[in-house]
Amino acid sequence: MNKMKFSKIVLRTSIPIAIGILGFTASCMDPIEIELKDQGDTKLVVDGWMNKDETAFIHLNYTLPYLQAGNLPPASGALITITNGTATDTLIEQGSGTGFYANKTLKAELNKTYTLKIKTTDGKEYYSVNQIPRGITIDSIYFLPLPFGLQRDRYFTNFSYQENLGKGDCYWGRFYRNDSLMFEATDLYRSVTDDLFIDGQHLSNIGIGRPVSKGDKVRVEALSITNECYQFLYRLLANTAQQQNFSAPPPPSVVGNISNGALGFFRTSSKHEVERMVQ
Amino acid sequence: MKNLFLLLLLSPLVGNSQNFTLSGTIKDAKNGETITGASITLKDKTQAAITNNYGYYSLSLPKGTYEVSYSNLGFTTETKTVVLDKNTVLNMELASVEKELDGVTIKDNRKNRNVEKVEIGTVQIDAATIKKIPAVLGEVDVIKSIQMLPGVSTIGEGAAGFNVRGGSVDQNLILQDEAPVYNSSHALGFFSVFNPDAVKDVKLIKGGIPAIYGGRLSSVLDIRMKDGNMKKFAGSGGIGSIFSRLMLEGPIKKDKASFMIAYRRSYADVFFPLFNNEALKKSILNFSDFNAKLNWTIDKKNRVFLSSYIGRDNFGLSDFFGINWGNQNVTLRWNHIYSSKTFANYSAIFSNYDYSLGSEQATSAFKWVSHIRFYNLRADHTYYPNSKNTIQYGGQLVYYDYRPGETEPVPGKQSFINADIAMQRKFAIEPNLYISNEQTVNKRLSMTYGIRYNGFANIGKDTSVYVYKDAEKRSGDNIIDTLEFGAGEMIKYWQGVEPRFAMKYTMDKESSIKAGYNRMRQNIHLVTNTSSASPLDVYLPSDRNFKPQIADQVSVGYFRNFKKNMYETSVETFYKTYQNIIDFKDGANLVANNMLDTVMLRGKGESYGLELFIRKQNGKLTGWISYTISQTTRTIDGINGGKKYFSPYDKTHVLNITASYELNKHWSFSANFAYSTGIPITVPAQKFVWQGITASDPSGRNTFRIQTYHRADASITYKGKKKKKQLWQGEWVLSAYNVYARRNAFSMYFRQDPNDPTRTQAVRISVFGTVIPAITYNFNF
Repeated sequence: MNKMKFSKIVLRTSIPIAIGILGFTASCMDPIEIELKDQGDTKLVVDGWMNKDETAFIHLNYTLPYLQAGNLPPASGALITITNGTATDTLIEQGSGTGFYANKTLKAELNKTYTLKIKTTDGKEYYSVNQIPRGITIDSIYFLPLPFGLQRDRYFTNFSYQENLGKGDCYWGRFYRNDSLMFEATDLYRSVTDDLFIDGQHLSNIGIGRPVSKGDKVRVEALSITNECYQFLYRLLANTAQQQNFSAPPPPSVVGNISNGALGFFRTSSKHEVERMVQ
Repeated sequence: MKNLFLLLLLSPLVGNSQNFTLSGTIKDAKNGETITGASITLKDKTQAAITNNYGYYSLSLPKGTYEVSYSNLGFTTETKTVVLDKNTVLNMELASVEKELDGVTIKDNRKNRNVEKVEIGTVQIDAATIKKIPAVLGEVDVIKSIQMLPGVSTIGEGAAGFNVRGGSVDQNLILQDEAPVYNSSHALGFFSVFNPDAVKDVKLIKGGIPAIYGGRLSSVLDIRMKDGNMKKFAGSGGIGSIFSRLMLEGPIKKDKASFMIAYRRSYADVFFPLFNNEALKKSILNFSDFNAKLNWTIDKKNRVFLSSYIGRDNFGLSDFFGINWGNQNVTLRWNHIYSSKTFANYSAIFSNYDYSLGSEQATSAFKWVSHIRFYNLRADHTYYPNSKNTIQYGGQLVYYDYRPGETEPVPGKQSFINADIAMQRKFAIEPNLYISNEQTVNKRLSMTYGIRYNGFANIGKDTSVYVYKDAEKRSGDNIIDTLEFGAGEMIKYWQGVEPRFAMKYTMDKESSIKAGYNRMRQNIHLVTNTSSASPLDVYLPSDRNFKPQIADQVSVGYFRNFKKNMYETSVETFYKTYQNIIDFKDGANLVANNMLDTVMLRGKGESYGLELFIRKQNGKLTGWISYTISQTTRTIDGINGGKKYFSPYDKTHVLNITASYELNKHWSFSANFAYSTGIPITVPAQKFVWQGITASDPSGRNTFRIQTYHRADASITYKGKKKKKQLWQGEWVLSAYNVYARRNAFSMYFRQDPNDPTRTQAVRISVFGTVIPAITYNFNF
């Protein structure tokens, strides 16, 4: 139970209740052609991350008008550095024109402050200041059959962990099946939490709502994230998956932690992961 | 100014001491129900009065002999010769004229009431009218009927409540036998909580709001429930697609005391146990409401009423998740006639709205509860000093208990979810005083003027209040102090006066010009980030950081009837400004947030428009056409870059047509047509991808309008012939909602194209994508 799950309950109960009451599905959703006249300005998009004891990756792109087809144009040729107060590391673009930057020697440490600096080819500069938050340890991972006998020989992955005492911690659980990250916007409902309702508790039966089968290799990744990242993910959820409700609030700006009007987020985390085969 | 006001009030009291008073109560001869708004007119039409909400009238006249007519639309007119040589009480019972009530009629004391009454922006509807209008799934509905009137709109099908002249849902004061109703909807908005079988009449006031009413910015919807048949045992009910309903009424002691009880329940979940699924067998899905009313005429001067309402919506999916919400209210009223010139009503009112949601699953059981409670004592007096003046004065004292939301332990369940999470409870006391006078200046000019005092004390009870460095730019980083308040300690007192004014100038028998002005203050704030109200929305009182919302409205209208009042027309225009109107910051998180004052911003608003209304009141074909053109905007620092933007309830054009054709005693046909501009929404401007998720960078607030809305409905009613030994009279209603199956957009969202990840698309959400047929059987006895 977390605020996002609570929001899901609040915002999504309308659909089953309404449909149930009517007794049949009279409602419908269908794509329509429209023209959006207000196209706004092109912005830089930062998709970056740095885990404790690991190195940093940054992916830079530019936005496109919303209904324009095509992939986002990469922001190539940028100068990117990360400073921890004493040392400065430079991230190098991985291949020509990819917009994907990395540094293979940088190792992030707990409680240090890291400043990301980006200078794009048009001369604009962007900053982001972050710390690595304290982590947690997954103490068990196990598999339970799907409820209601929905699909035989299919299971939900569950795990448990001890939450850190003291409010203010935030977490993002990510799930890999056969080394593929299983992640869509709707996963944010159940995979991201703060500790408002669960502070200091031992949490068990934390379910991952994606069925697996015998023989699958499962990896659960528990990321401790900053509250700023938690808020960003909340806005990302509100901007995407929550919009599919009958009475969703307007899509909010997904304000991240990058200065100068850039979109996206530079995430710094502690990470613990556990891998198991489904047997 | 104050002296002038007093002089105006007191002037009628001087020099009329030789008059005598003709007073009494007017009732329906069929069932003993008091008639609101009935006319009492002298033959020479020099003097007139109308009955108040309790059917009481008083007319002061010089000594003499008078021919007095008692009339009301739908009733036979009674004329009495009265020798007035002393104060005289004359109670009347009017017989209803069934034929006149067949078809769509708007209840009026006289057919040209719209021209003659001072009130502006006011429409009264009776239950017979509501029952004629085709409705969703055949369930006739008070709120859906209101939405057909000029100046009233909804953001879409299935949206809770209604919007008046661009106002939000919480800006309507909805009263059910004087008790406020905070959530007027079942099933999130598909049906209203008012059982049409129990409703006596409904009055909507949009402008020139009298001083007796206060507390909301946009309108008053005053719903009066039936008192109960004083003459004989009777009842009505129906079996519909969603609800079954039954109302019973009758005398406890003939012409002295009566009762009315009514119950409705939906029955989708009645069939759950038939399914071979344990989870479904344990699930619930229903909504119900129960009305009860007792009234007792103690003697000629005293009458008491006790009315109550209990409504509930329940939804539960086994032990996985459950939610329920509902209103409860109780009103105890005492009518007392001090003298033939002074009528008084004293009320004690309790109203509660609460919701609860939770889970009973092992290890993760939780319960989240919320309520708003209202305790009110009020006194209202009507003084009739002479036939030209009616003075109303009184006051009320309200105590509020706001519990925005908190967790509660689930008995017998171990859970890892902490049960000590709470949004801070809030308490308030609201005193109100008012006085107004309805004055007939001369044959052409009448006016109502008054003033209302509103105080609002936000009081503490283990309450913490944040002090911000800059009160206008509140944020978590801006807190410089936290103040603590104990039980009953004053945190903040807000007060203000609200002038009210309405006037009518009669041009001739069939036309008049009217004007109105009112200031309204609202101390209850709906905290929501959606345009459609949810049963889980939070209400908060005015406090140190939430200022009272204030609206000033000016309205002017021209009223003209044609062909001996067969056709009634009006043109009304209004201009309204708002102060301290609230709206949410982009991306505001309202859940379990104890700093809502940092995400709900306040600013100014403006609304103006023109309303046209044409109505045919009698004949085989009856009905009306209403059209509204309007604009409502807001300007709030921190939203849309501080620039003006459309209110989420803004609809430029709204056209509604409703008609009913009475073919014969057995067959009748009704139809509606509704058309309106799409509501404004916020849409994406640019797109970006983060961790594989395609998201949007939105445009300004509410810059895009969803597609135009239009819909037609129809119904056929067959009323069978009542056989001699048959105990009841029945009728079948076959209805079709959205007859041409238009997919009207309730809202839109944007997503990555599931078939092409490089593309994004707009998706229309329609509540009803097809025609909705229904059949209902109604009966009465």
